[in-house]
Amino acid sequence: MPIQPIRMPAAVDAGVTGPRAASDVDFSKKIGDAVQSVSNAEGRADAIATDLATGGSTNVHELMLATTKASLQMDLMVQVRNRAVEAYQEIMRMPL
Amino acid sequence: MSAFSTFDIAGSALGTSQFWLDTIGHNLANLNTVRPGDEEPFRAHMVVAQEIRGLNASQGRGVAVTAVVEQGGDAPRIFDPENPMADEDGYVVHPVVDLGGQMTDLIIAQRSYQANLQVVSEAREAYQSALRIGRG
Repeated sequence: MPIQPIRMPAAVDAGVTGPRAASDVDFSKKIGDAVQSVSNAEGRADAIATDLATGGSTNVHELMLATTKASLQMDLMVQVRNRAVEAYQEIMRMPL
Repeated sequence: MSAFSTFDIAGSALGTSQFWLDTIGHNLANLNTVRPGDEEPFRAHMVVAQEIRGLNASQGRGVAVTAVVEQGGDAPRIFDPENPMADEDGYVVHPVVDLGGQMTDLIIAQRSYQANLQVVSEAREAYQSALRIGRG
């Protein structure tokens, strides 16, 4: 039985031709947006905590959900940053 | 669909369960609320909850309280002339609250709250596991 060469699917093939334009992936802007989003989530959690502490109409679970969301978003941002730094360091270690 | 949509869905259910618990508390608090015989009696409040649909019809977004209705049925009208609430003929109406039914609902509402807290807990663990992908 003849062995068939493995072919790249056409769609994947088309996607990898040539480097992407630099403006396509602006990493510093993306990480900036992520930090902003974490900051917003923490702001929301703060507002809910203040409302709860001052006898507002907020329920306890709403505060806990907001703080959990903020914490998870923070973790997510930190993980993305870790990956980015890892990749950068990997490239810097490359002997030229 | 937001990043942590499970929390929003479970949160809506927690809010609804909380509202149901409050309503049952209100009904039980008024278990002995009598009114003059010629007035409408206190009637137990019943919570009506409906699902929230997402943009995509097949995807639910949780639950919300849409209405609060009063329990129907005849109220016991009792001759009690000593009661300060009695009308001119000496009658008072007792509230329409089914204690057994309310206690059963109380258990269901509490379990519903608990079940949705479990959803939150599992979702948090799942998200945290996802964040550990590729670590180390």
